[in-house]
Amino acid sequence: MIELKNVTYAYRRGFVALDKVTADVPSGIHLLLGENGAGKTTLLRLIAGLIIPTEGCCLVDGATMTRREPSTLKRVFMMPDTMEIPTKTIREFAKIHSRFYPGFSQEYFEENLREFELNGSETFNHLSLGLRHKTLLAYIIALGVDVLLLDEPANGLDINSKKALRHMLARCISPEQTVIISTHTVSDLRELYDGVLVLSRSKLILAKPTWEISERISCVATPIPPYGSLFMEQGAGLFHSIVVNESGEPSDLNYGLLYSALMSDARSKILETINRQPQNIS
Amino acid sequence: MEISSLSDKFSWRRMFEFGMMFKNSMRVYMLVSALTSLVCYLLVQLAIYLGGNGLGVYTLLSFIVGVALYLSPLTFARRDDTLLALIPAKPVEKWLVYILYSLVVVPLIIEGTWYGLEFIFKIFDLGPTIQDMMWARVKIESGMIDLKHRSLIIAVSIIQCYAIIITILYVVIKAVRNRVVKGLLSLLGILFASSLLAGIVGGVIAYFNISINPNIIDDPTTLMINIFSVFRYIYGVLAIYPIIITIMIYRHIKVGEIKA
Repeated sequence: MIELKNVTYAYRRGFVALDKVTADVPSGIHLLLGENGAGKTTLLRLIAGLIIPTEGCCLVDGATMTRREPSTLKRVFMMPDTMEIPTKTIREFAKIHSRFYPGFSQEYFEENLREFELNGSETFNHLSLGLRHKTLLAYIIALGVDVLLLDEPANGLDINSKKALRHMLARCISPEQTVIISTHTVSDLRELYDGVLVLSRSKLILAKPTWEISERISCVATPIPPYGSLFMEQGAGLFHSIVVNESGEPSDLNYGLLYSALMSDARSKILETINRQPQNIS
Repeated sequence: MEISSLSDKFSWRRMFEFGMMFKNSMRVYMLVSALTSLVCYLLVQLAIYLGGNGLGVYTLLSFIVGVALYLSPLTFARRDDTLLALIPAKPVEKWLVYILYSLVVVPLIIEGTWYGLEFIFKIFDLGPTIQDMMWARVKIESGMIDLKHRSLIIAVSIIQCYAIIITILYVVIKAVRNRVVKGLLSLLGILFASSLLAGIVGGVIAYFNISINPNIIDDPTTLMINIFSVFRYIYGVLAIYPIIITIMIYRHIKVGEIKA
């Protein structure tokens, strides 16, 4: 469990990257959304203990990451959008680096490499950015840390590799692990998300499990505008809308549509509907 | 016991494993620095053997060996700060890798090679050692300076050396980009500053000694002893500088923010 308690982070120049962010993030795979400069990477770095909050605190299973002790560090790993390794190949790197992580699975590592059609002996510096990214993902997902933070993991991946990434996360991530994925391409891993976090201009506007959101709202695509929609946009000949989920049964979520709605004037209506307590049916 | 199952107490083994992250670049640098020391030593000896300007050649080549010594922190220039900060090792273990490598391992390799060759030349009587030759050239025979002053000369030399290395290490560890360039610029900066300081202080002391006793110029041993009598106080104060920088490096590793 990640606990964010009134977390604020301000750069020296006075720019506030995160403003009083409070949320409890349980185990599962969570989608982190936000516009450019919303504070997504800052939030991930804060959870990893790489930066220190100006106010408030961030705890991972009750421990503060900024202490940088081995017992806390081996539970968390963050993969930024680019990363360099100090060895020639990912296999050499895995041999040295994985010794620090008790949850590392060599079997998963090998399977992940196969799924990405890599053998791990490629010279890292000679690989394209996309291949480097895949090489790192194959290793990092096999690390088995309690909290895994991925910043734009699908960046630079081709369509098949995105599918492979989806399989990998579904296979390697256990229910006890917490994964936060910051991405702008929400459709790539949509079936995996257990929770959604949305940042907008340094504020956390939504932090909910997906089942709870999908019980309150539905995302529909209709040839004519539906009555009483909370938000609507037109595309590919259809009207994509968010409506109140009257049935209360979980429905499919369109994360892209949800994000657009939250970044629009319909934000308050959407949030009010999502946060409304369900009525008891008697 | 697996590294991953060690507790939060200090572990030499975990420190060593963290150092293995730099295994390739350390290996290359240690080999290059040993070869530099070896080649430069042999070139000086060759110059002496051929009757050339031994002092001039020594001055140039010992500077090259010195640069190899000072630039050992560049071994850590190519790194990913996020990756290293997240490695589950104690900050003091990470700090010790940087400090021990830069201030102990590389100097031992370079000086060990140089003085090892001096030793070989001496015991096999292959020729004069460079040290004896240098002392003779500046008219100060090694036997005329007592142990106390020789120790002082060595201590001052070590402090100066460590001040330079630790400055470059700090710059390389703190820098986010262009670490090699910044490391080289900091070397130039601190060499200039330390040369200026040594030159000014030495010159002032020598001037006042000569103005009191002009004949002292023919007695370089006494002049040198007088200079070092004052230098020991100045370098005693300056010895604080590397300690402060070492602490700053530790603080950066422990609580420094990794923004990129």
